Amino acid sequence: MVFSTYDFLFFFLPICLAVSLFLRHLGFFRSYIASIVLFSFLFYAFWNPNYLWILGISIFFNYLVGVYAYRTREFPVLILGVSANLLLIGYYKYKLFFGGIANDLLGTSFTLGHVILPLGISFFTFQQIAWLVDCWQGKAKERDFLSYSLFISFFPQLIAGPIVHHAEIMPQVTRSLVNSNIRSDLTIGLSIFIVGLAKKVLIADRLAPFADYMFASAVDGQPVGMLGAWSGVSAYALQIYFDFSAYSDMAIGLARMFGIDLPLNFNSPYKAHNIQDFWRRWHMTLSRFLRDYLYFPLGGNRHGQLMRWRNLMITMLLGGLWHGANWTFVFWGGLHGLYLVAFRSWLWTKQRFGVDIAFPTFVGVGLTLFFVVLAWVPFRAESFAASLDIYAQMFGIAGATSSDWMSEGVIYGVPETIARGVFAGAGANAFMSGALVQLGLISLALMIALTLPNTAEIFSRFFSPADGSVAGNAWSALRLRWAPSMIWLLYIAGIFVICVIFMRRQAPFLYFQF
Amino acid sequence: MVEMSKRDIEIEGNARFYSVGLLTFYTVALALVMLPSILLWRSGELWPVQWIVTDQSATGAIWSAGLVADEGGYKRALVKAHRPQVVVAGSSRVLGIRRDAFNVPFINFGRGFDAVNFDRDLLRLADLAQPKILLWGIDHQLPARRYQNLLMAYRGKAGKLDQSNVDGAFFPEIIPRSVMTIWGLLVRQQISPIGTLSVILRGAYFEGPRLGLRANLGNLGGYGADGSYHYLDAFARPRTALDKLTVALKKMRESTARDQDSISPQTMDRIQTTVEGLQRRGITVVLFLTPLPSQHPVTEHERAYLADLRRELSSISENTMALFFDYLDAHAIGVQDKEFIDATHAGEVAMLKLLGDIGKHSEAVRRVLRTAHIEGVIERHSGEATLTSPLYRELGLKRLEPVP
Repeated sequence: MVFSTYDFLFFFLPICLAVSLFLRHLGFFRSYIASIVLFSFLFYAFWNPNYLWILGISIFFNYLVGVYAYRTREFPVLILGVSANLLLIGYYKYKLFFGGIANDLLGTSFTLGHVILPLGISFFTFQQIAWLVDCWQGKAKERDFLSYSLFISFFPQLIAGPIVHHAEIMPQVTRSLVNSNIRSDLTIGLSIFIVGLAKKVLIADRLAPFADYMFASAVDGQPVGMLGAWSGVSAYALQIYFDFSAYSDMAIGLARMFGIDLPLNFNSPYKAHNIQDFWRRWHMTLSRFLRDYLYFPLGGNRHGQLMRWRNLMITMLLGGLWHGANWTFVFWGGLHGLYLVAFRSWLWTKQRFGVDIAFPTFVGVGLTLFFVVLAWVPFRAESFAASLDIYAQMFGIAGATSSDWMSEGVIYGVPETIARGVFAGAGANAFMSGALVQLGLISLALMIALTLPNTAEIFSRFFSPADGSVAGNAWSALRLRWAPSMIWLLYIAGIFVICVIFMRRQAPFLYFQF
Repeated sequence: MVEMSKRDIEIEGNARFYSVGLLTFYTVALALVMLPSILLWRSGELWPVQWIVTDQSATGAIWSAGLVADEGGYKRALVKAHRPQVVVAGSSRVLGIRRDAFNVPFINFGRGFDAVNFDRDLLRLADLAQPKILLWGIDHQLPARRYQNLLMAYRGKAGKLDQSNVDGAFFPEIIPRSVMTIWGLLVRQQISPIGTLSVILRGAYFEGPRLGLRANLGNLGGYGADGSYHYLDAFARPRTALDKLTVALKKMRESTARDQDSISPQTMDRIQTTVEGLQRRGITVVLFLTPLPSQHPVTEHERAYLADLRRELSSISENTMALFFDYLDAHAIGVQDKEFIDATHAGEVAMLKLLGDIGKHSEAVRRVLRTAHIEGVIERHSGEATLTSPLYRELGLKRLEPVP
């Protein structure tokens, strides 16, 4: 079930809130927690009830191992738990990928069958690996199975994160049981949720057709030309930005309705000054997981530059593989690894040789954005060959330019069709009207991403990320700060009405596929 | 002692107004969306097809969806639930054949297959139902080149427009049809608030057991528990863009054979392959050309086309040993024009005449027919388009007048 659908917004959510908060109001705390767990499983079942058992067994197994690991602190127990999780994700997510590689290398033709990837498996598996490590290290302790079930299955973050630590969430649940300011939590949570909804419905989903068309053309071998390729890749770069940002906001808003603050997961990454800064802002909880449970155990930056570069590359390659079992994701991760190595090398060179060069902020932001956008190509493309084809078109190496890249092939929504009609009335032909609409949307989205404060900044007076991180950027054109005032009511209610009108039935979040 | 968290807003003054205002806004939106949802649920529009089939078995309700009618899924669910020994397949032109005519379990699979992919769907049906006899009514336009192209083009267009509403308006994106349809109907006063309330409270706007928005809000008729169609005396719907498109499409279909069209050899090959596939599954296949009123054929080209069609189907019949009956000229078996519901669809009396004729030539079919019942109905009701049944009385049906 997608947050930005009528089913969720007007069916699942009100019933879930009414039942669970009523139980909390009555003081039936265990029933309250049980009801959220039940609704979370129901939420998961809306996608595929046949895979509920995977979630259930996974929670039960990790709970047992975690409790035992905390009690014994034995390393083999940890290894057993982590291995079981990796086996689970390995089977469902990587069986076909590695099986295919094995067939190619060995010249065999083993039938690999067809595996449907359980939704959110990458997220709930990694969260439980973190829990096991925390238990083994004595940082996490949970004796109550119901509470642990809530920690893993909590529906606002079950499908696509953020990946949270036990210590960040469970104390808040306990606190929320005695803090009965339900109306405050509902008001703030709903306001944050609506901002996220707007990002999804009014920006990300509007950009999707342009990106989809360009990448589909690459698969079909239809050239779209340099402008078409740049336009399509830019549309995707902004689509995934606003899609993931929207999901993160909505997850934070929903959790807040239950009195829980999730950690910050997205902090205006396109405002990053360099690639390292980008990874401190994009999918922050995954970066934190990879840093704490992969990069540091590999040695981090403790054994010289070469080892640091190696560790960075391994971490980013595996981070790429985490996103999907395809060489395109590995390539994407590798590109980011190279970016990070190049950036670290530059810092090292500056320090080693006393080079004192400082670029203006906009150069750093521009360069970072340029390379991040380039890396989105393999991330989104269907195949490695399609990625190369798009690169060739972006840099003018490919042949002919098609003139219909933004007219006939794209399925336009109603507002875009109206805008095209206006441009056509002003004398623009089909190509020009399509181009103006697409470039206009991309420019507007880019302006919003680069100049407006993000949701965490807007709600900073009333939202404290669970991980203690602070949202903040050096520059924003407007200093918007939410307050429960009449003007903000008009803003939020107005946005909500527009979102309700334009909500589409089937527009899942991009991160659901990971 | 519990302290208020610093992150909470204090619920007083503006903050209180904001809080109440936003939650009220959400509640109003919730109500606006939920009301149509309740109505749709109560009318049976949102039910899974298995539920509809189960309910029909118990109540004899008619089903006609208003939003998206998954007729193929519905017919397959009927077949799965009833395990029929006899199935009639074809377009809406075979929907007048009813269970009453048979002494074994029967399902009318009319409109259950996709006319473009009829081969795939019929073999799927055979695997699902494993009937003993399949009566396949072939419309004269099915193998026409233009008809197949037209269907595919129409489907592409309908897909892009995201299908249509019960009131015929297109809402490709803005607000789900399920919500907009109801409010659209209310605003245009095509249904009354009291009528809407009636559906919410009682589950029906008109009399009798009904499932689906079209059956509940438009007295147009619907599918019975055996999959056949019951035409009710409908109030005239306003001409909408969809109506006009549908009529235009219908006219184009009707004229398919009249203007320069020809038989597609590929489609004929697919018909033969399908018959062979069905026979390999142990099914007795009976092919028949669906009947037309007397005004056909009207042009020389159409006569030539129909002659080709008869020859081709006879050839398939010879190659496969399947029975083939030609009822294009239905007058030959005593069907009158006034036994047609409209210019396209033969009524149930006409269909009984057709079945009786098939029974005369096929021992296998005769064994499953209630011959005495069929003869009795024909004797008493010859010249009528539809029969009055207890179900019709329950539904408040006014008998259809014969087409002039």
